[in-house]
Amino acid sequence: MAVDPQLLAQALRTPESQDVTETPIARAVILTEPANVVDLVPALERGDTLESRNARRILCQFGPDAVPHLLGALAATASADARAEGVAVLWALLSVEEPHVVRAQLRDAWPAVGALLRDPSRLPDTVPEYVERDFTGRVCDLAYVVVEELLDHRFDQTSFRVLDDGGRDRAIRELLSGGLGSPPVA
Amino acid sequence: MAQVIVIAQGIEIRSVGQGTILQAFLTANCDRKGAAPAAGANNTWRFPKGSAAKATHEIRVVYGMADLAAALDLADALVVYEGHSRYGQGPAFGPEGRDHVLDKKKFPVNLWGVHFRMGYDATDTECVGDLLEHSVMPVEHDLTVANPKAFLPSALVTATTNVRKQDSRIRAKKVKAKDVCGLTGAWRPLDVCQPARSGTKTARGELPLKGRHYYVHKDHAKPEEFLTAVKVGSADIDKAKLACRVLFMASCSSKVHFHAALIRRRTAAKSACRFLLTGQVCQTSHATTFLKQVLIKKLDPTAKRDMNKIVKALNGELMSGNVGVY
Repeated sequence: MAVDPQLLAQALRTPESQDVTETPIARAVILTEPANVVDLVPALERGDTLESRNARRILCQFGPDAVPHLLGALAATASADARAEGVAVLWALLSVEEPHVVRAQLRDAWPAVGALLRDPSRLPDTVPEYVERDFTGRVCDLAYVVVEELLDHRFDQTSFRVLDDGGRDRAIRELLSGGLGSPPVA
Repeated sequence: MAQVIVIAQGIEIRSVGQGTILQAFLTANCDRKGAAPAAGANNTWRFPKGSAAKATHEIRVVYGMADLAAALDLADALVVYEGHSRYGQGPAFGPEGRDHVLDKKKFPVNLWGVHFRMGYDATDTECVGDLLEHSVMPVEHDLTVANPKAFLPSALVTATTNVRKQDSRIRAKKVKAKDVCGLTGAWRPLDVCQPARSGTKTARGELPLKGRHYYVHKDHAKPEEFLTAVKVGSADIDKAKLACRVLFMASCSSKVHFHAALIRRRTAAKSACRFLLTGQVCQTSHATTFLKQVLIKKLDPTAKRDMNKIVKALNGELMSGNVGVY
């Protein structure tokens, strides 16, 4: 069942001075059901706003069982902002898990992962001038790097970074065509 | 005995949002240890407020390379470097302020070019965005004679192979001299192919691009960019005992740049230090978020379950750069 929109709005308006992830609404309502991630993803479309920042903070508190819901919601949105943020949330949810859990979650939601891997939208460039941007790319590039790193933490992304869009598209197509192979070993 | 947390803030970052936010957090939640230091000097704090000698944590904010080196050898310390990765050249430290080119009279040695070496033998960097921007002149890693089996990121292994192939064609005169500048993957001289850029003098009166080469031309980038290869090495991290329990490299793409050398050193030093590293560009107050988790939420980063919670909290912040534990 969806989170009451009023409760959700109240949680997302939690001031920065408070830890939104420890609020009663987050703990007792939102985080109790993995499917509730779907209600938070639309807030990620709002760029760098209080609501978006709080949504991301709560989203990152879910467990790996929320991944299919997250990926489904990201596949359904057309917002590059939401997808870019969502890929970062995907990293947060899975990077702390054991390899067999990571592989199982990605395999089960592979069609939705594919939607991200095919998204050529440019990543929002909102970082201040002083940040040394060593890589700027597209949603699909970020998704590729995150998926590869989740599958193998030794993955060296430098070769991918230095490619042009065409070269990166070829690498992404290889990943898409290869899928995730055989079922995971528990 | 209080748990020591060392926050080493690098050049520029100490003077932008991250530095300000950290000091505000410490002022609100901790007591300063000792007399107030001179403006811009290292500062030490005790947590919680009012605990005096019974403090559970001592937080040391430091701004120098020697301070970072000492922190890595401090038994059981939790260490955070918050600063620039300098495209893989390593942490750099400097004075307060946001000058991208330091005045040559005040700083005869350009601190933007002085790094804590903890990377591969070489890294790629930007001719315009880095070398010209900061007037730095790192030693070029000549890809025509480089050993592709050296300790290099995969991009430079591939680049070395490509450069050698193109170099053979050039030497065999299969490519006309006038076409070399358009030869993808070749080690192209900026003096010949980009003479105006090569002759650009910086505010320090230096010519960082003179005599240099590039192997990637990002002609669609704004501004137009050229990637070159420069020597780095791991001399500094290789001296470290890594006696600290946690090292959080809160700098852009620290996993990309420093993971390999860190793991190599951890193995050699028989260290149990855990690394927190980023996979992408990051622009958030990681040091403060880390402190909130350890001090306010009382999470212990040396315990796996707590560390996972810390990682989730760090990644909950916008532009976290995707922090992972290694």
